[in-house]
Amino acid sequence: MRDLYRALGLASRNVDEPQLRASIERCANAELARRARAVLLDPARRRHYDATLLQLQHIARLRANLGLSSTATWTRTVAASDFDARPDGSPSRFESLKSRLALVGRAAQAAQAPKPEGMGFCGCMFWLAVLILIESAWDSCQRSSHSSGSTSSAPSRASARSPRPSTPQPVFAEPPLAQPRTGQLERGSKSVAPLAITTREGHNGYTVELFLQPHGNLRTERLAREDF
Amino acid sequence: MELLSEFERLLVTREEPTRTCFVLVLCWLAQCDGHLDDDERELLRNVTAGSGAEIQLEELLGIARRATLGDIQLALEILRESNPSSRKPILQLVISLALVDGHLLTVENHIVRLMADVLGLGLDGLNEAFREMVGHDFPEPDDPSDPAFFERGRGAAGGSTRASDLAALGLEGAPSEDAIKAAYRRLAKVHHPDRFASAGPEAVKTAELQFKRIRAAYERLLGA
Repeated sequence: MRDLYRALGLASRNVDEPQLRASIERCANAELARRARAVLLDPARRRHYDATLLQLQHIARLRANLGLSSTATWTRTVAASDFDARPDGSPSRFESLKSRLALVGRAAQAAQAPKPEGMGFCGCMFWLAVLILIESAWDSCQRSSHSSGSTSSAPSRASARSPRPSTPQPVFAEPPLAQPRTGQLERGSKSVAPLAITTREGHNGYTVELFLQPHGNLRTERLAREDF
Repeated sequence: MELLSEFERLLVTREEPTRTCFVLVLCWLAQCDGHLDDDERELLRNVTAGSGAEIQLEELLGIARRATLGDIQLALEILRESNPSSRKPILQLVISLALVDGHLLTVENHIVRLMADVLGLGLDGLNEAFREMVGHDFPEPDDPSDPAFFERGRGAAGGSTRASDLAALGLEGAPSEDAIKAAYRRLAKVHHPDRFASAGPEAVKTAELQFKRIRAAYERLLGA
């Protein structure tokens, strides 16, 4: 098959009939002119031809992007010079999807990881205030128990503190990724890798949160899986 | 800016991305002429019915109508990584869908060729797969840039019932009764559902459908 428009030197198929006639008249190739006249100057034939041409141009583009432009299945059936689409130059769509999902994974991991450097002055002051409050509460609790109960000698301050946990319990332990609504979600790693997600049999579904940072502002995109 | 396209969104929430990609390509093929025949829909339903992930056919048909070339390319890239042993059956299902309405349009022919290359089978593999089904090599596509294409009446939508029936048997022109019987016997062996028992329930269903269609075409041609 030939791209008659391109063979006639026209940049696109969006040309009106007078332009088309003029191009055909100028064409030095008698056989090409005959074909173009018989196909493109008949409205019904032109509609059919244009629809087919558009699809073949798409296929030519796909072949170019997939590195399949020079196979026998293609070159023996079309005029290669008319359908020599160039690859888009972008990475493969699968690689692009994987890199976007990796971005999601990194964002999810970053959101889960502790951020000591991000604590700053305000964070330090917050935790200092928490420690002071805990210590005050502990002391008042001890004083209260001593005054109301035992008459024995007061225990030392160090021994009174010994059962206290050495570090405060995490305050913000909620993981940033949504958990399965029911059942358990099996992931290959902690990051979101939706292509590998499976659910255990008998569970009805789950939600996954995807994160995107298009312009510096973290945006959350939520994917909800339908129950099945 | 959306992080994921509609198809990518569907893909990452499905357990069987390769099958989802395959169904998307089938939906693209089935609708490449702008409409979906009942036969095409039935075959697609058979393919999706065996999916453990409950692929929603109507959803994928809609996505295929709105799909960008990038989506189709993504599906083809994922299919390219499919299991080598399943590539020929995949291509034969593609061929079945292209032939299911009784004629092989120019664009359908090119999509089947593209699939043969994507699956790494090439022209030789395509001819082999087609010979097993129909008994001869895969045909050259029609050429709508040649006026002769329209003079043969190929540009008209669809085709006559007799032409469709002949195409279902891999025949064209005015074959003799013996030729029709021979083509039927050959195809009945190829598409007999018992041959597909080991390939899974959906392959059996598809073979049953194809077998019924061949038989119906054969009966119409001999009864006419």
